[in-house]
Amino acid sequence: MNVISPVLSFFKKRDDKKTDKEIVRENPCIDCSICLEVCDKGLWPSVLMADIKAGQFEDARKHGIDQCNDCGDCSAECPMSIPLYKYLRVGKVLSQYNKDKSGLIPILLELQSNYGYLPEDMISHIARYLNLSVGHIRSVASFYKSLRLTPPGRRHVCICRGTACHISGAPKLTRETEKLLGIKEGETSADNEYTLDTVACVGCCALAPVITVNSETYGKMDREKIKKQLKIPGDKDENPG
Amino acid sequence: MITADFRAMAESDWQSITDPSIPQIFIGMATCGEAAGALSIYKAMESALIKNRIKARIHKTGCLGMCYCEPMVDIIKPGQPRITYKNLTPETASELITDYLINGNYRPDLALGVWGKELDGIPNLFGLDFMKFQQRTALKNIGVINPEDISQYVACGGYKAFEKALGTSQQNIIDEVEKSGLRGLGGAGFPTGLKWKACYKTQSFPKYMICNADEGDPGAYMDRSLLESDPHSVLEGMLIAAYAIGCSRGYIYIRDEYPLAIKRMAIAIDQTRQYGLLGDNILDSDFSFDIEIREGAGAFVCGEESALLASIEGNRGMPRHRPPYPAESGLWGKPTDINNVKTLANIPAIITNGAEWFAGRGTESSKGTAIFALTGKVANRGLIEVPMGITIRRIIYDIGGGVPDGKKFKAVQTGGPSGGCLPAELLDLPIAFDSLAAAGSIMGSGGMVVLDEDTCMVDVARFFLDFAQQESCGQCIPCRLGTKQMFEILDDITKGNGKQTDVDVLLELSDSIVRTSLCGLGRTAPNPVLTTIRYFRNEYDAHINDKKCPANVCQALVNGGQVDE
Repeated sequence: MNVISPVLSFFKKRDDKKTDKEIVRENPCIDCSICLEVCDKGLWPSVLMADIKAGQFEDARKHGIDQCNDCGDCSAECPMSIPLYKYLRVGKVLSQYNKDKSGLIPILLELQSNYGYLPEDMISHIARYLNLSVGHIRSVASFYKSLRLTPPGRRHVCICRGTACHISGAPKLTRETEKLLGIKEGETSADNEYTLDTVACVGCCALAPVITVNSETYGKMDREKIKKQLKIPGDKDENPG
Repeated sequence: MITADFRAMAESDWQSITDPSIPQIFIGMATCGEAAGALSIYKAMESALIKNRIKARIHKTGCLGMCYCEPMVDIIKPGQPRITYKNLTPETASELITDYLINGNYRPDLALGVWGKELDGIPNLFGLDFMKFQQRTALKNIGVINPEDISQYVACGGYKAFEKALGTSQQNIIDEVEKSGLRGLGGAGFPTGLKWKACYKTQSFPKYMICNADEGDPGAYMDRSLLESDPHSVLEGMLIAAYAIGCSRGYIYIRDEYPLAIKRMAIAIDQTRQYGLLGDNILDSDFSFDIEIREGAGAFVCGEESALLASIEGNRGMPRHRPPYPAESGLWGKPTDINNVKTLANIPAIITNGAEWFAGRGTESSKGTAIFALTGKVANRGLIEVPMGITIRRIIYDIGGGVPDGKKFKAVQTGGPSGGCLPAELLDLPIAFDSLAAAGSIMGSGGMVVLDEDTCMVDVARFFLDFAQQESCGQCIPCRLGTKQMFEILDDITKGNGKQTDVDVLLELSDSIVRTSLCGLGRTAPNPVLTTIRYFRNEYDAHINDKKCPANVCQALVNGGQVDE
């Protein structure tokens, strides 16, 4: 997986041979301070972005990043269309935690709840902040099942494979859902609409079999109910083969 | 600060709820209730109240443990007892508002039970088969109070045990817990008092207190229910433990598959902090303690205590060698006490009622009560708290109402992937730590899944080994490769490719895995295979010799290999 984003491009080594155009592309801010004018909270988003880019989270905290309410006005009004809110969102999460290894998993979980997965550039941000190697963070992120390194579909479907669900027909349900969605377990559909996963147990065993869709739990599922829940149009699975 | 004023206020508020001047409606809103549709019931009742211009108060409670009746609603009408209604739909819920609150017809057809003396056509809730054999200690508040309101917990006697504990010496509390005979209810059953004592005696500071709420066992959900329905009882248990041992900082490690439990626990922690029960100089004593929630990230092995510590420290959740035990060298090398949610929820009752009261129930070596999540092929599925020593038959047939649809009982699975399957011959086995271990299973975290004649035991064993090999952290070879080999052999058997020697190979592999694995995951992973071979050998033989699946589950062996969809 290789996600190139504006954040990542900044961390690449500065190359003197670059043309002006490239330098502007890397740091497009023209210091117009429109973001300062539009911010309801009186923050200066471009300054905060510079703090975050430089890894100066204490400065970002001093400049009031925790007051940011994710409204996104700064990005919307920016004449250079800089995605300021993206930096602010990462910075806000990181600046809440101490520079301590023990904050790693909470940070990863919180960023993932914002983005749905952990983009490559974000991992390097965290590594700089916590003074850990990117390798360590990747090893942790790949160990835990809840942490994803690839973006999920818009509907993240998890089928519970707990004991009660298993004997109530979860394996059959998984096969049927795979057919309905046209993807295998662990895959994301080509239109990025569905991701199908299994989960160890969501603790609703009395309602087995259970599925969760974007963290909402639905019990006593069967093929028809899944179809209804996932709003699958038509009967494309009825075709033989 | 829990002052007399606050307690009196909480009690009078609770009085106005239990003996109200306007109708009080309680809707069970734990995860299972919400999954069964409690949210639409809530909306339907709210709009029915507005439409009929009725003044009433709606409380969101946790779950009463009677999951087979979800969604459930309780109503107290002025001058009437609390009546519980079951299996409501939005339509019947709004009918209930007009029929009961306006016309005074209490709809016995929808009712489950009444809290107290029976009314015409409605039995006493606590006289129902599901309730009458239970002795609720840790679960006493679930479904009764609003978990997001500390004052309701305080009104029901909450934090009295902690106040009492603060007035005595640390040694006294540890002795009391030791005398009570309470054993860790997370599965292993280590005596809680001894654990506390070891941690108390270690001279190294600061000390940490951890509540293990990483309930990874598939088929068990009592921790989730406790955290969602009565988080303060767990907090009170933690406070008492932390005071007794001398811990200054606590963590609650909750798995992130339980978002509602995390949310409710966060609210509860905020409220306790607000009332001076957490922080510096709690209730004007020298004791300072604070709690932080840590979310797990979907790794079953993190329920093992040393893996849990690694996870809190920000590493891959991989267990390490013990000793040294966490009581001597745990989180960041400091003494750490780790207790399960259910163990901690029992502590306030022990402090309030005394060790003798607690030790008076249960069996010789297993005191008190056991909490089970009764699920699978059983009529009344739900959470039960029964005295230790009760027989499996009583749980399944009297409390659980037997196997539905006239099917035959085949086995009961206890202890999740670390436990085993017990056959019908052992139905009269008394439930206790030692008796279950002798039968080849374990108490475990308390999942109890009933299997009927439509379940294939080889498939069940394969399912658990599949789980174990996926969840193995990969650190030690017996667990990483051994469970994988066992899974592949079982997979072959269920696909009709079993060999005569397979069962012997499975037994041999199990023996080495049990003896050489690093942590509890590996050491107990072969249990489902060992017990199914011990009690259901004929099914293995049928799969291997006759290429038949007696229960018609294994796809490759039914209908002549045609996959039945």
